[in-house]
Amino acid sequence: MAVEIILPRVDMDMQAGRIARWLVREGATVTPGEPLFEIETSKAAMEIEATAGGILHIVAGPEGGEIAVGSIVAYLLAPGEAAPDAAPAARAAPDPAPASVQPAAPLPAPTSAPVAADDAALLRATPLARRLARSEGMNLAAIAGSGPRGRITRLDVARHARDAMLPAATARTGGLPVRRAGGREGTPVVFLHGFTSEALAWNGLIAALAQRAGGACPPLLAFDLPGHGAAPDSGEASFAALAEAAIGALRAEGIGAAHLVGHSLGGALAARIALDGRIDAASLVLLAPAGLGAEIDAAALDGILRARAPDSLRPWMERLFATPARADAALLRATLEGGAAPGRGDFRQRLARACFPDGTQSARLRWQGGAIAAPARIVWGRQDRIIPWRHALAAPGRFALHLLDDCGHMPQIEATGAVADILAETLRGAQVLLPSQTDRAEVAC
Amino acid sequence: MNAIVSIDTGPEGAACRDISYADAIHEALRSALEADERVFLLGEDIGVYGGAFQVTRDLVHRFGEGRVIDTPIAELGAAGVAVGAALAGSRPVLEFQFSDFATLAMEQIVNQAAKLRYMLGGNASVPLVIRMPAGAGTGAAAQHSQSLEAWFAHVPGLKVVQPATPHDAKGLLLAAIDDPDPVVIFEHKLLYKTTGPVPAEAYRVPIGKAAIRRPGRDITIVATGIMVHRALEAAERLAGRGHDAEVIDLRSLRPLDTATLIDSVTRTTRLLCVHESVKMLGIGAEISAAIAESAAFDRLDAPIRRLGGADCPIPYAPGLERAAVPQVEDIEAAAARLIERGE
Repeated sequence: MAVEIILPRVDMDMQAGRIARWLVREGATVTPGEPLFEIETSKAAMEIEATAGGILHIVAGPEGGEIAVGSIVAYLLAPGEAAPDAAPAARAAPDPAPASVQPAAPLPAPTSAPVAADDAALLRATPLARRLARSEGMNLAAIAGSGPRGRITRLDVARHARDAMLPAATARTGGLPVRRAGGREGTPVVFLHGFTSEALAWNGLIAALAQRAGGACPPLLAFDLPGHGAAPDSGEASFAALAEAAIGALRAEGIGAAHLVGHSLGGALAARIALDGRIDAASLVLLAPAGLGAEIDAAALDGILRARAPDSLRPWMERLFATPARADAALLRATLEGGAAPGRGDFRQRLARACFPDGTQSARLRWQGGAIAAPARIVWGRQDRIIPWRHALAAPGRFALHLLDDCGHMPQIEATGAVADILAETLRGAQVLLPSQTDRAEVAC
Repeated sequence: MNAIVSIDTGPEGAACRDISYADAIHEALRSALEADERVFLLGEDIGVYGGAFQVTRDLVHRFGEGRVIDTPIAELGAAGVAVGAALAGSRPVLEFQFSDFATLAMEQIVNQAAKLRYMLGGNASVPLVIRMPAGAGTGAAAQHSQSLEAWFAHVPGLKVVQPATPHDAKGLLLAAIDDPDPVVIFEHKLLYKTTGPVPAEAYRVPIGKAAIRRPGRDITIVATGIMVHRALEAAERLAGRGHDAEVIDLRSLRPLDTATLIDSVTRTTRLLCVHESVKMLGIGAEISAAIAESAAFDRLDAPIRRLGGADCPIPYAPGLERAAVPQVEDIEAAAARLIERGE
């Protein structure tokens, strides 16, 4: 099937750009990673690489002028495959020869009815799909629509977010199952999920972050913690053991320095790892983290652990959100399936008793007077009913605090766009501060 | 016609009996006549004959010809009497034998009853109730089978309700008699013999409040009058296909309960409007626009669809008459298409 090459967003606020020149000729065979074209925006110029291999069929060239982000600029075809009908950006004839010296010929008059062309080019999406894509920072043009005449629906957006990540890879020796997304270069961003969640739950945020980072996306890694997702249910069920497992998994991946992102219990783990020192925290972003105070909604924890059916799980999962409808059927099913493995319930009960005995957070982070020097942020929903956002006030003064409206305990789901913005900002800020790649490499060894 | 399922549950502990829709209206009229001397009934053949649909049957014997008045076959005159009596402090309940005949009385309903409070600067009101037997399905042809509720709902100054159950037929009628302004009640003729639980005592169903008859997650089906029952049956069939439909009984066309509709569509992301009155410029168009103009727009995951009466007079031939108004299978097919194919 033809792979669409679209004009990517390479700048946070970029709406359109122009193709400066094609680096590959029409009809040439390209391999993944090969630079395809140069893009020019109001701010920068950069090379865009092929995401797949195939025979290049150019749709839009430098003559096309300003092209909207998301427009199709070329296709990668299989041998013998015909290009799909010319799409929106095909305003000019493909001209693979850069710096042509021929005088510009007058454009031929359009031969087909412009109405039909417009209709084919129209991006169809339901209002709900548009709103979701907007709030999660996704580019609709990159999403395949399954509705009538290619209309994009809510399910298509959800599917696109899900497909952002690869399936859980086999654990390396001493490691944990990991889902990967993003690029191959740069300090990795590591995601640590909360109690009763799993790596897959980071999908939406990871898709939104990858969209924001564009071609410069660092590796994004989400781990399944012991007793969750595809990880085993064996070993000691304690906060310290979870932290050791996470550190071990990072080291098994060869990671010496990482941007750490953690949610709830995973937030406490991320902070613990940053304080530990064996992994160099390039930045720290904690979403509604545990470990900063005593209170936690014990009834919800207990209810989620005990629930065996969607109807008994729903009331508790609804407490995680400011908008209860966010606890939808898919999330309930995923949560139930995630806890269904034999032996898992027992492990989680022991972990809950260790981390939250008698409905109290027992593990408290000791900040060791400014031991975390990396940029650090805490993100919390004002409507969090699981852990009160005021716990954030116990964090060191260097931490920035983002309080989100209309958001409960799951900012990564309920305010995906805002969290992705905050993450992207943190990553950009941390890059400036980071020591050079070689310094970090020593740590990694 | 389709089987009507009981969809009301009476208040906790109240003495509820299963009685017919016609009996529920009779009970409401009787209790209003007993409770308030200002209440009187007028209409064609509502006295000794008991009304075309036997709703008023014995009331003339209980309350006398002074309070249950047979009018001549002159709708405009009867409506004028009712408006005048209401202005003078009475609480008339006017029955049109068929809602189609209200066309003869439009001057009194639209220009007088609906306007007088406004034109007299609030110094007078018209506490008039008009009962309208309406709808197709009786083989009575084009002049006796219409659903004209949208006409009246278009007039500021009128309230328009459409009870679907015996419970609401009684409660909305009593609320209408209490109301200080004119209220038009559309009663579907096929509903008169249907039964459902009705509390024995007098109670009111608030005007302007829709009822969720069946909660669901996949689609909102808003229906009026007899279409509520067809929508519920369609919802049961949809459940067999794995779809969970929410059915809302609109109950009042004016005022329109947009809050309940917006909340529902926000949850289900899909909307199907079903009514028997002609689809073009019908209540479904108003609901669709209200949703498109509301915050629920951003929750729509499929186009809004409407089912309504065909763009023709109600045919006499039974097969054509059936085809001219939405049926259970039409609702099922339209809802399934929206859920499964997004169109």
